[in-house]
Amino acid sequence: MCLVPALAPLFLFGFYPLAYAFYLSLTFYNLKTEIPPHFIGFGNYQALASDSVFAISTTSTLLFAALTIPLITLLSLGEALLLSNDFRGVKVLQVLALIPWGIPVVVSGSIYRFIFDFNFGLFNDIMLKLGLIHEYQSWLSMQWPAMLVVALAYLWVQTPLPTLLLLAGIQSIPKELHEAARIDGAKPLAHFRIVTFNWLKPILFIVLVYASLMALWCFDPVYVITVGGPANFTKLITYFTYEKMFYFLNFGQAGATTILILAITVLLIYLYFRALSLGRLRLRV
Amino acid sequence: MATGKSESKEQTDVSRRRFLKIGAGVVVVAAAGAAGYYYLTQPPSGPPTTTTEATTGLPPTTSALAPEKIEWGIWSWGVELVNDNARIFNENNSDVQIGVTDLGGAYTTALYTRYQAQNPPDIHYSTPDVAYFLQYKKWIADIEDYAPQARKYLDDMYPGVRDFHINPLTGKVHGLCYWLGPYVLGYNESHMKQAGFDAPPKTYDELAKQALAIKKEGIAEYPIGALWSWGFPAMWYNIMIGNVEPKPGAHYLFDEKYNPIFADKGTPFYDAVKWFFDRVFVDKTISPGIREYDESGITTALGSGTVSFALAFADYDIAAANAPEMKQSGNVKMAMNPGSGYSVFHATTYNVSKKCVDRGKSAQDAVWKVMEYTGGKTTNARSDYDHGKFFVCKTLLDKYGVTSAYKAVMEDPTSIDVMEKLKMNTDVLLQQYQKLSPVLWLDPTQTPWWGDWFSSPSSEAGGRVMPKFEALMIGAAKPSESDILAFLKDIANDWNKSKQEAGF
Amino acid sequence: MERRKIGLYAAAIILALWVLLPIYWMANLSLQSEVEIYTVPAYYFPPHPSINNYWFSFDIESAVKYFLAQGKALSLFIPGVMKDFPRSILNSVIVGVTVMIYNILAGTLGAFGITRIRFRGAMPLFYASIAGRLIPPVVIAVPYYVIVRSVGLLDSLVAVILVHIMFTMPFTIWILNTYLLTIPTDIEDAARVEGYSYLEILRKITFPLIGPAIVAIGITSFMISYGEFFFTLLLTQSAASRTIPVIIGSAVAVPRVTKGLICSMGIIGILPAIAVVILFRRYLISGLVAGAVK
Repeated sequence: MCLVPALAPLFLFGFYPLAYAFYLSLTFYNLKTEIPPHFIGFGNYQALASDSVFAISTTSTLLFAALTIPLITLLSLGEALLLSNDFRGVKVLQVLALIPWGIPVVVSGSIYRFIFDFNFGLFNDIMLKLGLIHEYQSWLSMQWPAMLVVALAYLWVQTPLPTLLLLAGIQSIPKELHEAARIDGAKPLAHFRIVTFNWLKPILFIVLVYASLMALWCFDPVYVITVGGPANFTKLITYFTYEKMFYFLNFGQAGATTILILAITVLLIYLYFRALSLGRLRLRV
Repeated sequence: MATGKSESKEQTDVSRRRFLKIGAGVVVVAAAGAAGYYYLTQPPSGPPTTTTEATTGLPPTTSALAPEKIEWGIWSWGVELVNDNARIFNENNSDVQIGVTDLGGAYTTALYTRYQAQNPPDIHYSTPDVAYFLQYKKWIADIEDYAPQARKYLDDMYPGVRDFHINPLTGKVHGLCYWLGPYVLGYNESHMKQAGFDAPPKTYDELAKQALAIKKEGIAEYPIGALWSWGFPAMWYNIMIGNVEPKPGAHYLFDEKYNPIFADKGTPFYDAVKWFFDRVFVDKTISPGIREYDESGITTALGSGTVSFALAFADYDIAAANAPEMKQSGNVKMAMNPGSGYSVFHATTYNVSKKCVDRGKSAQDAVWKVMEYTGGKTTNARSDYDHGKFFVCKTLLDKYGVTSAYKAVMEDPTSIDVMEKLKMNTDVLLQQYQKLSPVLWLDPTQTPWWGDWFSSPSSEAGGRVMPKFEALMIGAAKPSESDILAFLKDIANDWNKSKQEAGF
Repeated sequence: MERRKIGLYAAAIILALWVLLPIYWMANLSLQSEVEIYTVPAYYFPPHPSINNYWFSFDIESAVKYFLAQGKALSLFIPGVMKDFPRSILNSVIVGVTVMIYNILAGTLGAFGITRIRFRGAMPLFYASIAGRLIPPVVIAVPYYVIVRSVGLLDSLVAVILVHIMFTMPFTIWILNTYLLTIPTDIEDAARVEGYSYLEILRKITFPLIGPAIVAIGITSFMISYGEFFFTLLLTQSAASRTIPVIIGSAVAVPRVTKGLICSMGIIGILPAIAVVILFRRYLISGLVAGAVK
């Protein structure tokens, strides 16, 4: 009974719509035709496979994930290491580092869009003044720069949480371990590798999983900054699904895409957990 | 966490029961949800409620009991004015009361969701693709079926825009005009003069020449801009009909059977695309950043002098670029579309949902009253075709300077006053009004997937042509003739695929 | 050591810039008028700082009048959705706080149930609850909309709250679970033997012990709820239930934007989050991860 309040919303609102998504993915359900919805088995998946935009979308999502996952991990690790030191103003810095977490991603997206604006943006101006470019560039009209801006807006908001996790992890390393390493005369790099990094492995794992999921589901910055980006380059898979559903009104294919996203999510998690020797990990219940 | 064995067994027994109970409860809830959902999305059964008022012959005084409620769906613009107008209507009409619903920024999505959930607003705005889609699904009704006098309003409109208000599937008038804006060529007069020209370009080649001169003089780096987002299809049509005058019934992209006819060298579309790429890669007078020019983008670009030429709206974009504190205020003038002088337009209409008219005669009369108020002639918010004024349309123009389809509104001396104050050169504007072509919406008559294929006039996203075009535009090298041909054939393929999928 | 200190300070400055630069730019734009924003080159510091935009954020009508007076056409660029901004602040806070409280109460209950009251099926349920987080939001949108509409909860705060609970609960349960598992159960077991009911044990013994974790998940659920955009966008139609991200997101993703207003709304919108972070920094660090780390 204890569990009902916690789990009822989940089951009602989580799993039932998921079942509906399964149903949709096997149905031809396109509002923009006269053909009524009917069962077509894997027809939707076939249609997606031959859709060039879907191919671009999956590539973009993979690129985005490949870009952000290492970046989040490294950045948060770096930040956490920095913040774990004791120097003047570190407490202030900790607060500062956490602030972006509380900012809705749409706000972050908006401000980055303004910064990278073609004619009136801060970035163009600085680059011009520094002499790195000789005229204003439309960054959001170029594929990789647009992707980077989306990633930037996303990273800005997402890094604080892993940083927090890692920072707490670092702070919980027992002093004895550090002592032991120092006594053994370990050089800083080895010290880091043997003591800190090993200790943080479980947390790093969580960070990896979290970053992977978040990258897969990233939606807000695309909606606000690039709307799919130059030539569909920033059309992440979630945005592709959204478009399929609400603009093309093709619910069948949208359902198929979601099931694919779900499948990849599950696969990813399974792979992650497999890749880890469960003995070391304290995540099991 | 070790407890006595027997106690734990008891615990597990108890808890297993509880678990089963919970599990059963969940399944029941899910099943109920599924059943409920299924039931609720069934189309309403039974005949539409026929009116009882007519047959029972109740005396009219009893109709004063409950006013007919009409829900007016709007998008988030000019909301105070809309509410004000609704209030005026409600004060003057005790038998019909308007309730305004703001469907928000993602208007099309919200509207379609409501239609899909069978709960649409009674009367609402529509952009052309929305109107066509709803007509195709038969989710909206032609107002002429319930109010034949709607047809008379066509005479009040400029010739080029009449066809637009007629449902291509039925031939009836489907709704009255909310807003109609021609695309014009906005140009910066001082830039032009500085580069040594004293008149705006009369052909697209002249436009290229003037832009190149402006660039060489260092006045503007990328002088040619355009409204990209939802002005994308219009821009192409303007270039095409500028080069090839639109005779009635002319086809540029598709024939009557919805087959693509543009995927060849020498077609108007091919020439337009080639012209565009020459500007991007050869002259470098168009920047790939043109794709960032949504409405605020092109307006501020014109207003700050970053572009010298732009195909954009007269009221929203040109007038806004001339706002008093803009750097180029007063310099941004309008010219007719170069070439043939014909231009396309964008328009929005009021449409009535089928659900509304199915409620019966009282609802039909009520919604026509509302439509005639918002898009037609009234006196004191009551229908008055013979002596009334286009009240709402005129208020829109007076208050916000937005243009309309009706001659009476546009050519009224007070209207001209308002527009002149906004620094729109009305003489050119009215000339352009005489030369408007509906070809943008009739070539072909819009199919449900038209917006998805090209780029939707009502939304930012969607569109297969736009991203593919952008891919070529931001490429490193100028697309060769075969590249352009490949692009055209590719999008023709997309069209045919959509056509097939839709069962056309 | 010197090198190290310099390196640290340099890194610290970079981090500070990374965080503060966008916020500074947002504040910068919010204090400028539209025309100043649209000047080339952009102003790094507002030439004539004015808090007009902030006033306008709370009273969009006066903004429209102001622009109308300047020159009608500019007033066309104010998306009407912005007039819901003041109410949306209230909504965001209400939703956030409710989600937070619900998470704390129901999450503790649930985690307690799973870890303390052992029964068959605890593990699957646990995984199931985490799996709830695996569902990509996008496609469950339409059936969700239909469900909500059919029970008449469309455009109500209740629906928004329910969705947000769905998003935050898995994380909550996971954290609380792991945290609870690290706490020895001796006292609880003793109390159990003495005949206390589960509820009393929870209330008197366990709850105080997991204080930091409670604070942490409370704050996390608040943050997640506060920033949630997509579903709230879909389920809300009017000022009655729209939250801040919806307003700002809708105002930006349209072809006509007013940068100054958006920036001032953004600044106002991030204030609650900043306040929370500042006040609860310590708890966050100690509580949030204590469970996951140990």
